[in-house]
Amino acid sequence: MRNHLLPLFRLALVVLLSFIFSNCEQDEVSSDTDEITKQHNRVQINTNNEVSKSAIDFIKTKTNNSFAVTHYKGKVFLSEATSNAKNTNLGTVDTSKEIVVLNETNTKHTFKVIDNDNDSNTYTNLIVVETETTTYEYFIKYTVNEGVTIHDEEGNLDFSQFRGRIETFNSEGDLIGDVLIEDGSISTQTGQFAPCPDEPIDDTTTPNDPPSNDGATSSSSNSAGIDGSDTGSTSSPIDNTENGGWFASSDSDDCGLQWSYAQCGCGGTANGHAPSGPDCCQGSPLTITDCNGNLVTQGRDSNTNTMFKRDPTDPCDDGAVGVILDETIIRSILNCINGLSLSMNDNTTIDPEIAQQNNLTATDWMEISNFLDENYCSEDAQQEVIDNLINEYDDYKILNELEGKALCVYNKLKSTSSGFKNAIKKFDGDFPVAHLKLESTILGGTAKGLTVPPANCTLEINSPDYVITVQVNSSNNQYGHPQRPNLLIAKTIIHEVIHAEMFRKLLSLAKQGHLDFSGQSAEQQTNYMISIRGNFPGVYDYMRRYNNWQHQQMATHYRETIARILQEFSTGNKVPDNEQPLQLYMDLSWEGLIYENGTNAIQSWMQLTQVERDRIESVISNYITNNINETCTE
Amino acid sequence: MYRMKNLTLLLLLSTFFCFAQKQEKETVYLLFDNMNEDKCNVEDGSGNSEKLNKYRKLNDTKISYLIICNEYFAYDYKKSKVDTCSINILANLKIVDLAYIEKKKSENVMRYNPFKKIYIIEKISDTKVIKYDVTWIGDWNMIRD
Ligand SMILES: [Zn+2]
Ligand SMILES: [Zn+2]
Repeated sequence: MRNHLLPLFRLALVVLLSFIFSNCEQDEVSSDTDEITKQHNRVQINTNNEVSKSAIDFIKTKTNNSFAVTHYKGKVFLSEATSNAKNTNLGTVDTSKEIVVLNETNTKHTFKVIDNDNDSNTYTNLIVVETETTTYEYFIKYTVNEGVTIHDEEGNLDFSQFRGRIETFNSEGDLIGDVLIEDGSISTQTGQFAPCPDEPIDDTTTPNDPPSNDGATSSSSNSAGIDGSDTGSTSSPIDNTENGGWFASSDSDDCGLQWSYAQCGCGGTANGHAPSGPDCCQGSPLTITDCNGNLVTQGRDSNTNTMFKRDPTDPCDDGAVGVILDETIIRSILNCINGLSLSMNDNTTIDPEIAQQNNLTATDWMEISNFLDENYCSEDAQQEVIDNLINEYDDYKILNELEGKALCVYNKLKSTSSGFKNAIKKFDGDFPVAHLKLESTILGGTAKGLTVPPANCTLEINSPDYVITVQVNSSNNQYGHPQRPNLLIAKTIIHEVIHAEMFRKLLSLAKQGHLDFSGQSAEQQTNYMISIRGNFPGVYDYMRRYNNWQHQQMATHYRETIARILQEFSTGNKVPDNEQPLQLYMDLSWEGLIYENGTNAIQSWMQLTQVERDRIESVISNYITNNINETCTE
Repeated sequence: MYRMKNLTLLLLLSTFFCFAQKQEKETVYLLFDNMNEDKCNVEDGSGNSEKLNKYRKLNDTKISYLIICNEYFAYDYKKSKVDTCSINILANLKIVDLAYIEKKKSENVMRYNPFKKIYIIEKISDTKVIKYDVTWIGDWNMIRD
């Protein structure tokens, strides 16, 4: 349903882990330029139709077509259904893009998991590994410690500057590797970067294998319950609720179980037996001890049947893997502007679509990000960025289909009135018309314009989901823009945009892309109204009290806003905040809001004296008479 | 864990079922009488008021309207169903007036159109009527002017 929201533009930060872990191969292969070229050639970045069908089919089968990734008790795994519980549904596999790395013994397809949480510092990749005999998957989760890391000119992440954590989960969802990287070098490491493909997962181990506590050394240790997604510097509201850690028996770990990997011991399959023989790549058993150092569990018990490689940089590692960290910078910008928490004095927000749908280059985004950083994400800096983004968005989105004089007036409104651009969002300190479509149309009757939210599925005029359409009458009569004065065309555009903004508010709570409630029960409708009351009490009040509530609310609360924009449009000077707009503009702002009959009667209009009402009506009609057929030049 | 999933699914299904059962929505028919000479006060929002025919038609570029006083009923010549029928169908239809549908709408918590379908019946001869499948224009789907 939200397909159209898929960003047309994505800042893809693509990097190859192979470069930092290329020391895997250093023993055998010299790192001369030939080798680098060779590495490049075995990497493909595929998008949309080019994405490997075999990998997609594999994910499809594994997830029963849901492409869902679940996060449960510290595990990360493909699941068959999109869970309803927010704390278990990590996200969905993004199959619009993959990085394929052809390794010696396998082919690795990397996909990004579009996760539901707002943690800008964590990215999860799904890796589908195809070997000659089998296909399996695992996950790598990247936690960037200190915000956005360094990027080169193309916007690629410079992994040599990567600071953060890399965790690996096997297809069972178990955490099998955890590596901390500071300034490009590994500071702490446990486990491995990839599951050992050679080891059959259903390997039946002899349960009476002695525990490997004889001289088992911890290469490092960690709290058993740790989830791993949070290194303390990032807030991760979803993950933090999960204290379960990655093994099932962690419910009772008050005093902190410790886990470590025993020395790799194998000669054949490392399946949890005591370490013996030479170091090798085939795995080392997991050891869990309680706070007194007593062995709780070890290696392959019923819950963790995973084998571990001892050293992620081991030459027997199963090859390089692509990394997709999408939208890093955009997300960090959004986090600054929209904030992870709603603080009372932060009233600047922007719809993520605005940030994602425009023509900005990676360099532009970096500039914006740096600008926000340099200004400590101040409200003023945010405001400036928002203004720029809206301009970019407006120019990029071809939603403006106005023609002739209406287009001329619209462009003038945008360029002369500092107001108009900001106006729509100033109306409520909230971001406005995310998807506003403007068009010139011949309308019948006396309508000078009209506004259509996405709602009437049976009508041709219907707006698509999330698009609110404003039509400006282009009839060649007194109601159409060819004849109307510029200032009043401007008024019509502003007036309709306010309608659009009101619809946008309703849409923002509708939990669907359109305002069609015909299929909803009375209970659902009531709940919707309750959410309107909670979020937009003013709107709720007018909806409950009036038919024609939008005009009622506009007449009472928005006329000054309209007048300010009109005056700025007309004079080129912004009306100072502490001054009222001139009477002429206040009077003209009434046009379209004058209703006196029956239930449509506008209350704030009816409260005026008859003399005042007559005066305003004649100001409007005189203005029209004196400025009919006015031309517009930009 | 699997059991939990199933339970949630079941719960969802059953609530859904309840909703589905509750919804018994009405289909109503309004008469559109071209010959009627009643007038209605119609305002243009700029202070001008006119006495216009109670029943009238209007076209925008993409949509047509049947208007009864100040209520607009839209249909789309390409997409909407417009049938020509024998006048005898009238006997079996629930014919209502504007006051009825307005009252029903005002009783809805959202002032949302509560009807399953609204049809407008226009008499075109002594034996024939046209049945229009219309969308009732209101605060939730279009604001004119
Ligand atoms: Zn802000
Ligand atoms: Zn209006």
